[in-house]
Amino acid sequence: MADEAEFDDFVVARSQALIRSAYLLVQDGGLAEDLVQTALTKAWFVWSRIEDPEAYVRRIMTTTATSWWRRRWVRETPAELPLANAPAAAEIEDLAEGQDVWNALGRLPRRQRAVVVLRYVEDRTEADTAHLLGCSIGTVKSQCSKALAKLRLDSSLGPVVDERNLP
Amino acid sequence: MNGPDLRFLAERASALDDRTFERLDEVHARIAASRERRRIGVAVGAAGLVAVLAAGVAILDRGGRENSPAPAPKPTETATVGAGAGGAPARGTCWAVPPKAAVEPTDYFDDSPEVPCSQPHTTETVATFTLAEATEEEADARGGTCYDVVGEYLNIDNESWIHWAAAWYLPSKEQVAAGESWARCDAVIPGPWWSPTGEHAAPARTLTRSALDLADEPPDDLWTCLAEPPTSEQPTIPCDRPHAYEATGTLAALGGISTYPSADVLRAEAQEDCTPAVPKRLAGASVIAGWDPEEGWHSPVLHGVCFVYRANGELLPPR
Repeated sequence: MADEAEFDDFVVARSQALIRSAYLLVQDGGLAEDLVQTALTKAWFVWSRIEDPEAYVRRIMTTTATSWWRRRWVRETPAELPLANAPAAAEIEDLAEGQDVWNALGRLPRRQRAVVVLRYVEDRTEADTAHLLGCSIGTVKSQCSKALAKLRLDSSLGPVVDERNLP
Repeated sequence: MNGPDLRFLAERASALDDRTFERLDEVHARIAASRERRRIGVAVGAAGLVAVLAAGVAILDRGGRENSPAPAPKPTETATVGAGAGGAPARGTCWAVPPKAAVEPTDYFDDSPEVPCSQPHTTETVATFTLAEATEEEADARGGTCYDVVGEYLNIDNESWIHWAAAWYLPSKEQVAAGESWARCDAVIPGPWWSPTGEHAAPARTLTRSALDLADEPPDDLWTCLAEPPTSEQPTIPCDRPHAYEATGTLAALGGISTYPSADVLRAEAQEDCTPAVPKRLAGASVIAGWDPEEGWHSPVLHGVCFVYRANGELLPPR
């Protein structure tokens, strides 16, 4: 079945990248796995009608992650899903400093977090980010602006946020 | 945020185990399970009514019916969020529905005037649904989905909450007679009334801007302040005067539960979830959550609206 083969190829080729984004979005390995699998499952049922599978799946991921009523975003751990391993603390240099930015990212509203992840961590253009999130470039700009303003004010990151390296 | 910060985030995400092939198997298992659920007709869209309770808003009791979960739309049907089709209004269309009718609609066939969103209005279309037949039953079946899309439109989540609701309407009777068959799903901001059971609402507020992303930075007059604990039904009071309880604009959530938690468990959860949201100007204030009531609670997750207050009974200063 052509559709199923294409779907499987997509999962094999792209799901690990999706997991990385999801992990930054929800900051929990198990939830990230759950989020991606949920999005992929939804995509399967409309696969033949999707023009850009990755954009579609990312949109579902973002809207699902920003949906406050979804049970997945409370502190339960899906028992049936093996947890992905977060990296050991000792493996990361400058852990304390990195942990600060991790925590600050986690304090952003999820939609702003999604924009920051796509724009800055994945280094995507505003247009690409807007396409992947299903919103306008203006929305990407405003969400970025709000996110950076919040990061600037985040006491854990210090008084000055260095934006020199930001695109 | 600088270069090392971004590298840290990228490296941390890259260090996740590669579970690609296990994931593929698990996704196919989910697809099979989902197919089976669809085959036996399990409702999948009833979460909207849970959202209603979680938001602490009025359940829009159309025509005085019980607030039972609406049946889900057929799986193949989805909300249209772009330009309306077949005469249906486009997303972002604003309406001057009478304020009382916007929160307690009794007539599904709406002929309220369309107005620019910069002009006073009470509802805003977020999505439209194509119906096989323009009936109240068909429209009600989309109620759960309507709540989902309105929540997304307002950008409601655990970290950004305002008092909100959704309403759904059929075309005017003249349009239906002309062959139009759709339902529109509108965002509504209820008036100044707090109802923990979600049974009552004050007439809808009049806005002069689009409700898109309204929860991101809500205007001051949409903030919720109370004179009494959020466990009781009461009018809200303006936050620019001293008040006893002030919403933090966030939600507490307790998940993975099959029975309604004890008061002790809810207090502990509110303490954990709401405390980080206490504003700096109210440092040291206590927290409490207005939880979804047990009656009408259907979901494995329970939500509460976070409030701050002074345990010694002193009023909070104007916001």
